[in-house]
Amino acid sequence: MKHPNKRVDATTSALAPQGKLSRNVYVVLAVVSFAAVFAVWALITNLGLVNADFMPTPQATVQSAIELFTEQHFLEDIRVSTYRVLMGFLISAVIAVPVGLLVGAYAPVNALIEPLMSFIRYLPATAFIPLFILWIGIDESEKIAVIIMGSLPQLLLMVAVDTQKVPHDLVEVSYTLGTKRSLVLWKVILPASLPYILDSLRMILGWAWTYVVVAEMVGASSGIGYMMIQSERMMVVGNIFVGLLAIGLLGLVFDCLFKLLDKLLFRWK
Amino acid sequence: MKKKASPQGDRSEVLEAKVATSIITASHVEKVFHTKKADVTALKDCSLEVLENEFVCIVGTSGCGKSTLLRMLAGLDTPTGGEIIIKDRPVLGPGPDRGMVFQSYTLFPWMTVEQNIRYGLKEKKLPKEEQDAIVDQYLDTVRLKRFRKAYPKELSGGMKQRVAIARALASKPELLLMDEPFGALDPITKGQMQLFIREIWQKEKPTIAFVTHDIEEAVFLATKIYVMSARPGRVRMEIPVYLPYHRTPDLKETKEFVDLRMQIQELLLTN
Repeated sequence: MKHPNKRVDATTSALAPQGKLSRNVYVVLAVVSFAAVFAVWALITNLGLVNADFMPTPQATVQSAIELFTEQHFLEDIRVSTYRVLMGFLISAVIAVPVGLLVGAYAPVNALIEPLMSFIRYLPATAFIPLFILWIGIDESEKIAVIIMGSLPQLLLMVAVDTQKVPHDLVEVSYTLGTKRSLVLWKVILPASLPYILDSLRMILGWAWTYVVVAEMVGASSGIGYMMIQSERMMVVGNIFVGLLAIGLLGLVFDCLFKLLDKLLFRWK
Repeated sequence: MKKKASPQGDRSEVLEAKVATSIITASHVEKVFHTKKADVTALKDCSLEVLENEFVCIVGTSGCGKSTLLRMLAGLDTPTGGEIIIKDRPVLGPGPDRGMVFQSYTLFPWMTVEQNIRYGLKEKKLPKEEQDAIVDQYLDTVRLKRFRKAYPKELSGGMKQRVAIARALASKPELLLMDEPFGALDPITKGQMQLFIREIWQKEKPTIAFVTHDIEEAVFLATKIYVMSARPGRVRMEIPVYLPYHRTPDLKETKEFVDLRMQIQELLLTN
């Protein structure tokens, strides 16, 4: 080989599988993908290729957004939806993280809970909406219950898997340093699996947004999902687009917050 | 040695009082693994003795059960037969009286070097000042003072194992168990680590049981070698090592060293 460096490049270049990309190029490509989707949207709507009743132009969507925020208190819808998501998410986390740790660490707890949760996990949370309306009514707790139904079993199982990722050697070495069996979960398994758990929480929060929107489409009088289903009934397609964009942006913001938290908490990684 | 007396007193004092205390007495130890298909005898009729301040190496080919034997000494595995006595007490489980260094890197990744070394001392609930003093002492011993605030991911393999050794020794165990601790290191680093652990042993005289498949490593380090045979694992022979006390890398070229190495190699080949 004339240029030995070329050979190295061949396996680490951006185009090789598992290759690397510089930060700047990454950002540029990410922006390009957003711009491309936007361009296609702007083009087909402004050229009249699709019926404006079914797909609004970007300008019309902005107009809808302005109206929603100024005249139809959309901010309140966002607040309500965010509140429901966070409540459902927090309640799920408070239960699923400790129980998931126990399921991951202790075989008898695993036997008691893991198969049951694996079963419940397959029941679509949205299918519980009629039942929850009967049981709980149509107030806040019903929406939150739907989110918990969708998030908790998944999160619990994910946390259990996270704790099992901790190398057994770490547990054993702690024993040889005097750690008691009853405390090893707290002293070794929890800190070691915390980064994985945070990542699971991040994933689950994304799913919680799906459940809240569905829950708000049935028996609700506020929230982003409610606004969207109302807009569908009145054929205000621009509002639906605003709703979609709002959920997407909120998701992105929460995702970034989690990634920031990960950087701050786990410098050791 | 720190001034603070450990329960059994200063090691050198003990040495003066009586000739040598037995730290490990393993007699007719047996380990049978029950699998669905059959019972596999990993170890059979293993007997060995490690005296205080000895540096004992256990050599054998892969799969001869030497790691299993060490794990049973640590209390991480239970023998299915025979008896293991550590300092007059049968082994009932793992404990801080037997420190262990694994082949895999087992530093706690979320703790700094300093916190890792301190871990066992906190478990012992030693007073803070005493912890500080011991941590400083061992950071010095393993020459990692500059890295006290570093996380394990920032360390090389050799440095990680040095911290692991410091962490195990800091608890002042009666016995240091080492399971191929240098097995994952490159040959140069491995050589440095061998010198390093021998130096520590000469300075502090911890009692060490060291498992390896590297014959040269065993001969270079040990005061006594147990050669194991495989399937089922047995202790084949006990070989005292009469080589100079101060060991340097050029020892590996001497006739005495080579002869002993060949003798063990021969034993392992005629398994």
